[in-house]
Amino acid sequence: MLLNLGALSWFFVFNNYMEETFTALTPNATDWGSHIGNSLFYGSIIFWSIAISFIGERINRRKLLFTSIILGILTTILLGLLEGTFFITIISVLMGTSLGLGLPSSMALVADYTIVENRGRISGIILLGTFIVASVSMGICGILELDILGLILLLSVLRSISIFALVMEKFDRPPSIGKKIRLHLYDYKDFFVYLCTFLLFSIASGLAWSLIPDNYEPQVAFGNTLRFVLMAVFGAVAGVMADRFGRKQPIIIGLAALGIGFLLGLGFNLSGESVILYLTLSGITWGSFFVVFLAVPGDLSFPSSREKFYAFIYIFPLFGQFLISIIPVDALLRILHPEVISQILGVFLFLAIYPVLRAKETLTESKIQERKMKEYVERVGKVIQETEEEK
Amino acid sequence: MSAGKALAFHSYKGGTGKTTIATNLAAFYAKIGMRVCLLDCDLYAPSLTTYFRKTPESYINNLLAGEAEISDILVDVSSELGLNGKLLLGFSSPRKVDIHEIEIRHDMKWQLAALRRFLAAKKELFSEYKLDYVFFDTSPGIRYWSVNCIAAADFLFLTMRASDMDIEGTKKMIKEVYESLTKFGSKCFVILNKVPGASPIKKFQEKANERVLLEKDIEKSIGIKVTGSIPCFCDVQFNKHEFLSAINQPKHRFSKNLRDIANKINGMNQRFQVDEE
Ligand SMILES: Nc1ncnc2c1ncn2[C@@H]1O[C@H](COP(=O)(O)OP(=O)(O)OP(=O)(O)O)[C@@H](O)[C@H]1O
Ligand SMILES: [Mg+2]
Repeated sequence: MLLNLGALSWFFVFNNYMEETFTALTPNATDWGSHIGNSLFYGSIIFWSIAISFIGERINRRKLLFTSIILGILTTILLGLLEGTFFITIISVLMGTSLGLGLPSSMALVADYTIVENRGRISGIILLGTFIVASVSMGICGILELDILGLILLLSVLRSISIFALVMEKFDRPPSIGKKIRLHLYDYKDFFVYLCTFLLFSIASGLAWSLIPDNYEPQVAFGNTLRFVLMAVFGAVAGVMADRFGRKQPIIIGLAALGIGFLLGLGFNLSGESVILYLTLSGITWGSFFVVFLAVPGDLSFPSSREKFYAFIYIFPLFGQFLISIIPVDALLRILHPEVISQILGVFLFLAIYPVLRAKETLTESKIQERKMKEYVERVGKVIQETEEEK
Repeated sequence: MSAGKALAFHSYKGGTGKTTIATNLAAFYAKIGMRVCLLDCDLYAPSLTTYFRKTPESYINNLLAGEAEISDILVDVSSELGLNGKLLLGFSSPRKVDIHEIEIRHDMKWQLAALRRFLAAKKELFSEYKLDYVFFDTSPGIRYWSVNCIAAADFLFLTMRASDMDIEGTKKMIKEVYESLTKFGSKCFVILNKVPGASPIKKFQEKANERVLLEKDIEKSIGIKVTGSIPCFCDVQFNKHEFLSAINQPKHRFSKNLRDIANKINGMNQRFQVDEE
């Protein structure tokens, strides 16, 4: 089961690196070309994710993942060989396609291989692995001062690792699902409440990014590495919490951390330190959010509908980035004062809390109780042992 | 040397006959001259106050909270029931606030502290009162006080019906609870209750060997020895207040079945004592 964690974690790393590659590569093309590349990339992920989530049930998962990974590796390598606006455009579409094809299935895999009692922790471990690799890779980039070619090489390596997971395990659908389970609107309703939170959260953090002016580049780079470390740590912590106290707890803590981040980091005078502080705090948020939103769709979905649920959950932040990549944010910034924006962000966060409170806890009360009794049985055993020894 | 044993009656599902069997067995042992105590450890749904129609001054709840001694809560009913031996009863409080308190208000730490008091009381029952058996009538399922009783018992009797639901539930409990608690020396057995064999409808009447086969079957499927089985008797089931049938209606087949189990337990007890020596 741990094997498919690998597959998923590399996707995340890759996803994070894609952005960097693009910005690194865009000097080759015109400024406009880079914008198009970015939006095409996000656009095609979204398109293919949705497409796959609807037709994915009928496709062999193994083949799908394989195609996606091979396509990913090939396009990554091509990125180093080809130049020019035309090729970049095509490659960005293909890269997006690769991710879009693979992500829903590999996330659904995690849900298939876990049960509600350990899903939080497993998600936490995935995140821990993902972001440790991410921060190490970033560290390598920083220390070795890799050029574009080096970066591409590193990316190809990262991308290839998923193959191991595929080779070592055959990810077929659990055989028990012969008949199709129809989802009721009601099931979607619970999910939708979680989605609302996630949507508001992604808009807020997307906007927050645009608040940080370009001249803080070094702080952002440093803060981002720190952020990844914290995402790793808090991903794991939130995973344990999600299994012990329920799925809502990490969300609430995450939102609180982000709120403090907005207030202290961006709300007052923007400085190098405050940017780093914000990024650090947002690492806590992202860590706990990722875990919960990796676990909740799994809790709520049936094996036959998993791809759809997962596609939806991560399309939102991607869509945010897609929007940001096609909207001239700078213009918006010139119109609105940063303080105003951070106040808007505050409102968003406040709104985001509301759906959480309304949301159905997917780690049911009885599961929490069951874990508690298990622990109690162990402790009773110790008490008995002690009294036996007294005799 | 005291050779008393604590017997707990537990089940996965409710209504399997724990209270009926525990009360009748206890009364039977007292009738034949043994010294017995019956504690209502079903703190979440007490039944002995109703069963014996008694209102004591202190409850097991007080003992667990450290407000009372074991001597304060015991009620001796031997003479009023005309028993040759001793039957001491410990009741648990049927008051709503007390039930709420034990179930919700107290945390795990409190429960463990209460368990220590409970174990101390059990020890005293054997050493001071020279009892042969102490009975724990427990709550069904996995809850603080069923776990505590299972842990405190020397012999644990899983009282179950021979239905799939009971069997599956019992298997689950064996895995989750019994196995981790019985490694401290307590022994686990099954008592099958409400089995077929006493129906007025001819088709369901007992056929030769049928119950033995059923017992073997259950033994195989859950991997625990079956001490005995009791058919479902309509007159017991529909009696508005079944009360110690084992001593009040000694000729009833229910009583005969129960005596068989009682003798078996005595036999087991003696065997284990020989083993221990
Ligand atoms: N062998 C039997 N034949 C017929 N009726 C029985 C038999 N054993 C028990 N009963 C009846 O079944 C009902 C439930 O029994 P009892 O209260 O002993 O179960 P319990 O396991 O203690 O329930 P709870 O889990 O609620 O404490 C009672 O009405 C009892 O008289
Ligand atoms: Mg009972």
